Amino acid sequence: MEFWFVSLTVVVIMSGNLLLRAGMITIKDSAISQRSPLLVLAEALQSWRVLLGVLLVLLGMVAWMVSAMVWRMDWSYTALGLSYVATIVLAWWFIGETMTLEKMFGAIIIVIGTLLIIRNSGF
Amino acid sequence: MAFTDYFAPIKRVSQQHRGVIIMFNTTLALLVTGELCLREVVPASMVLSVDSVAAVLLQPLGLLGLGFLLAGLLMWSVLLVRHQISFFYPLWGLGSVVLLGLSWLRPSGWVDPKALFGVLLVLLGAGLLMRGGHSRS
Repeated sequence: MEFWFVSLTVVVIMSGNLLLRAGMITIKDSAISQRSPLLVLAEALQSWRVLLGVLLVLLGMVAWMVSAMVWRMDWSYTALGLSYVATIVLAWWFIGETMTLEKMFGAIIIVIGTLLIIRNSGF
Repeated sequence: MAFTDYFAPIKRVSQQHRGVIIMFNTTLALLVTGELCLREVVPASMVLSVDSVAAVLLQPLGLLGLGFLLAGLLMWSVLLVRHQISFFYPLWGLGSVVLLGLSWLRPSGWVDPKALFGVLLVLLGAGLLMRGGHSRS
């Protein structure tokens, strides 16, 4: 049950982030370059994609953090790390972002490094 | 390839996107602070349920943690207006480096050499991402 719950929280974080990004790219270039970040944010929050994305990421993060603190499973960090790699592929597939070998290898090396830190630091 | 050849594109990207890097670092700091607040209020023996999580989050430090997380996410949203999520999302892994640094600062802090090797790998991965570029949409 723990395995599936942690996996679900990571999928929620990843989906929320992709939704958030999909909502943010709909904001017009003119609005970004001429306005302060706060005004850009105010405009962005009128989009249902951005609102839902922020809500999903917040819920997913809280659920993931609490479950990682209570259950202390290696899978929590492994799953989050795998979502970095999955996001590169999904963002390329659904949003049209660039996918390069350096991005993929960079993300994989970050995942391995994060796991080494977590396993040997007693978090 | 010369050693300096690896770092040249990283240096170029760092100089070109200084504002964005500051914004990302602030986002990361807010998210890590939120996590640290939650670590203080979540008991290790807690039985996970909606009620127990709600009770923890309604404590002052829990609410503060939620506030930090929300502030971090709003700044994260602004970052994603023009920059690719596939570039920045893997960099969340740097949060574990920050947490390790903070645990080292404690009086009884000791860092395992394997964890230090992990830090090196995370930094190498971040460098590769920056070399890959294409952060702009």
